[in-house]
Amino acid sequence: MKHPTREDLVAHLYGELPPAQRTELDAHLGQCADCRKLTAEWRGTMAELDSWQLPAPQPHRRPVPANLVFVPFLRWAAAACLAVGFGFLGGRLSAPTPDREALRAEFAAELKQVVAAVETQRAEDRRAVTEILQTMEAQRTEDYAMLRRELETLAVNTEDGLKTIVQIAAFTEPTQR
Amino acid sequence: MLLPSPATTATDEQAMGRVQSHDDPEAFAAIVRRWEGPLRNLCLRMTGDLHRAEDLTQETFSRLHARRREWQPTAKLSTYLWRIAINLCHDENRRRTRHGEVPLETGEAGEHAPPITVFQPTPHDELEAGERADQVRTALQRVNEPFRTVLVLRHYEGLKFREIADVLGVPEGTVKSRMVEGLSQLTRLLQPALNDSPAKSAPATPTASWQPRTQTKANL
Repeated sequence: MKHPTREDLVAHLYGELPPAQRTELDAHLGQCADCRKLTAEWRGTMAELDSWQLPAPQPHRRPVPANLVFVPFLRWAAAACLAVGFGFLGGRLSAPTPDREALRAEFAAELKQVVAAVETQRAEDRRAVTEILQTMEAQRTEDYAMLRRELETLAVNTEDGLKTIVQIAAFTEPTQR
Repeated sequence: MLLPSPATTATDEQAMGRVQSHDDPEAFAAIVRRWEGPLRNLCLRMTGDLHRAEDLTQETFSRLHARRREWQPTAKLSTYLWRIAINLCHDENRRRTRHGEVPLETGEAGEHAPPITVFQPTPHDELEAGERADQVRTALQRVNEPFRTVLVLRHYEGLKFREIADVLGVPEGTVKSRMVEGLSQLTRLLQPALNDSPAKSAPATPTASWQPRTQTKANL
């Protein structure tokens, strides 16, 4: 007797065999005790699997990626900003207007003093900066002059050095013979 | 929202298309609402741990969102989601085993695993059912992962063998073979008496000898 494959038996148990094959396999199971035994075992295991039931999913924290998480927060933030803004406006509009002339007189003298102090400070700073610039300019001129002198000395020395090299070159000639 | 959002009535693929093209948060929320239950169940069945399952489900959705541009509109979204979740469960189980936590899986083919107690149904006892479910959960964790994956997807999630083949990227015949192996391993674990002849099974299966592996690990 030709037995069906175990893969076919499994497909049969899960109702995935085409009708023709199913009839054939049922016929075989009617005759073959071995295949019947195996199928029964597997059916038992399938029933066991069914005993592990999971509770229905309860709606709870919704997993949403980070960048989408901010959307509701942004909405709340916008609402909060509006509330604060309206509160501020309302407060301003309902508050009594202070006497401007009195305030201006009160602060005028003080402001003038501050302005004068700032002005003197600025003049002093400007003077200091000019001084520094002049010193730097003088230093630069001096450096330039010195550099020039050094260069001239170097040029003269090099001239001497070249002469010496020529002499040495001339001097080595006779020793090679 | 007063008007029903188009995202709630769209198919998975339409919703995912909107996520791809417009970064539509409503459409993504619809996908999450539809799939968080099934994915959590899958992860729970694959890991045997509710908290891990919830973390893995969340991770699946973040990964889907991060890779939303990679999804091909011709592919079924569900296939893509199952695949991400299965891979995450796989990584999680491997990481857990590497870190010396309880390796629930058995050795080569589950043959050396000591059997769990033999089931004797007592219909009047409600508690028994809960205990039995617990034993099934434990036994399932001891089935090697490739077989467990197919068992869970076929038996609990009701995917056809063809669909499982798409999720795992293997031929349908391989899926069926894994199902055969998974069912056989589980049968050995749950119904050891069925495998042996009654004459020798009584002394040969010491039901009390099974110990959680945690204890033996901890003693080493």
